[in-house]
Amino acid sequence: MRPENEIAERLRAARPRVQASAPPFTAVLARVENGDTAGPRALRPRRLALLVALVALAVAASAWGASQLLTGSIVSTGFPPVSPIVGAGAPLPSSSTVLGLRVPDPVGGLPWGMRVVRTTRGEACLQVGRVLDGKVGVLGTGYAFHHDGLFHTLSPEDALVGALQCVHVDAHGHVLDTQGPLTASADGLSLVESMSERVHCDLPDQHDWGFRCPASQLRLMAFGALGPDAKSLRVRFQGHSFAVKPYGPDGVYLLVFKAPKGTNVGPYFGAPAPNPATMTVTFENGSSCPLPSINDPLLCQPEGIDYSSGPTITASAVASPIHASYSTDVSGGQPPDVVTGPGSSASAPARQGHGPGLVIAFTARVGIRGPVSTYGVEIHRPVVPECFGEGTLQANTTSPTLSPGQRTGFVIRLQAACHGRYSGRVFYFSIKPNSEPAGEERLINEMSARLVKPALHLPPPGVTVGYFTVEIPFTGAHDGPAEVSPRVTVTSSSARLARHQG
Amino acid sequence: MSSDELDTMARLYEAHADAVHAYALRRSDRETADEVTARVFLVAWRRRASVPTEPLPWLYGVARKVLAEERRGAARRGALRERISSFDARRPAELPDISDVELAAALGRLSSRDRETLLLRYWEELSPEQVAVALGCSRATLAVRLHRARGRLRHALANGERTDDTCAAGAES
Repeated sequence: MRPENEIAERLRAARPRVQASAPPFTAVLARVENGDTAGPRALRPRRLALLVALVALAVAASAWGASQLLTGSIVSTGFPPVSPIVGAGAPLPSSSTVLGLRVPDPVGGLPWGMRVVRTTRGEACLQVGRVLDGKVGVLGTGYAFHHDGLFHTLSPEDALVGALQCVHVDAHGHVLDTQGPLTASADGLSLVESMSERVHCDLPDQHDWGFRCPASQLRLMAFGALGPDAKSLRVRFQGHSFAVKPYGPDGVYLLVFKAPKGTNVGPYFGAPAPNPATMTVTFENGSSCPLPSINDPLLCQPEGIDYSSGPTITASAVASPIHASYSTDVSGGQPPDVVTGPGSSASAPARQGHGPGLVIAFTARVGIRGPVSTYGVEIHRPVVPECFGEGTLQANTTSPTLSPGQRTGFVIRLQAACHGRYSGRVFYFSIKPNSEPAGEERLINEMSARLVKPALHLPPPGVTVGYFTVEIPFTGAHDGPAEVSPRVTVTSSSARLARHQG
Repeated sequence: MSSDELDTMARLYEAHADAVHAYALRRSDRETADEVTARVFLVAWRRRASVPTEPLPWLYGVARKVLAEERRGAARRGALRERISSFDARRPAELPDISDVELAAALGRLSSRDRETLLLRYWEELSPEQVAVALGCSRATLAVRLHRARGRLRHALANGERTDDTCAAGAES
């Protein structure tokens, strides 16, 4: 069983059995007739005003706000520091500049702006917020920052948290990403993944039930990057229609409207907007695509974006001798998957400390530059009754950046009773980049599916680097149900990796 | 209230009140569940013009927030008592009372967002699209969050099992 299926089944099995018997409808009806609004505050109806603003112009920040707002503490992501070689990577300093694009807020205050944060691992993340003195940030309104009314600067790293606003760049470094239309809080917090839990427009003497922000403190927003060949963006919203010229080499756009009547925002980034605007992008060659279908290759072929994955990696390009050895003392991080039956696998229970293990080392002749490629290993061992699973193990790297020629590998913890001849294969695996949210999930999922679902007759994943066989000695007593435990990627920078994996 | 509105409300209540009540009951006591259910449908009544055609995920979203408000009220009322008792502040108030103690502990280590994402999916058996509606996020965002929540729960379970292993005589490591 795959790890996610195991989790799902365990949750379902633990689901409390309850005898639901809702109060009689007449009880609710009586409260309706008594004027009970179910909460202390009802959202006041507001005229559905659209103020629009937008643009494609580089306008200097309005002097009114800049001179009156003080700067507060810098937003802290609350997450571990980003690593330049793991996950989405770290921001490139050259991409931390806020774009000249400024969009007035339809209600007032600081204008909105954005930057395109590029990373060491070939990804790009859009960061949108209020702008003061050339910095992008959020406002301390409502409960956010204790209603201090200050401007809080966002760091480029904030754009990487969650990677929900990040995409893989194309073969030429171009960015294709569209976000929204979505409902965002006027302070900008709901656009920051790490801060979205703090979106809270109510003042302390008001209650927070149901929907968190009155429409006056919400905006309808859309932003994105359409690539270098986007010519114009046609927007239709609430009976209005206008065109926007994409800004800069990435063809970015940023639209900020007053929130329509009845709009509410959930606590999370990306709350879908009611009655959203419709948008169509037109490219230099005259072709056009509706948004957000620009991400669907069946509906749209955006001009100027090239997601070709480069030259095909052949077996001869990656072939390398595999050195596999048994060690009586290894330790590690997360467990690999273990095939437990036809078409299913489970993640073996992790164990702490040191113990016997298998060390697999090889030279990565093809480098790993981003989360669209990795090295993996599959291992077959004899079926031993005391061992967990049927005998196939899968481990994969966390796809850290590797230079061509760098030594790397895996360490897999073994249960003492799981002896016998182990054989396996190290492979290189890659996926075609696209404009899906960045990160490694798609890479890992596609690779895992090939390994744990032999019943689907999918070809084994990747291009083989090499094979190995190693004899694991019987070292003693049966020691519990776990077959294997944590893996650790062994590279020349293993200390850094361990820190980021930990 | 017109008769049409009354009929619509009655049908909505008949179709979904028990589901909402069960949702609340899995996360609170019966008295609270009764109140939450009533308040959810009061909200539905007040916002009847915007109740979507597939109302259940929306109702769960309202229930989740009403329940949170109930907890805050209860927390305020019990603040003094908590200060002088051995109340374990680390245990989230919404931590479900379930027999799988390792799972309960692992769920307790998750953020409320991760926990609710998983419980809506696997306890209320909503589709990913419905969970996205209930939580007010896009389907793509939900997919990422669901994947990560499962991973974090798996990791939390592994940590818990390590703790147990340490106490178990004869266990490996």
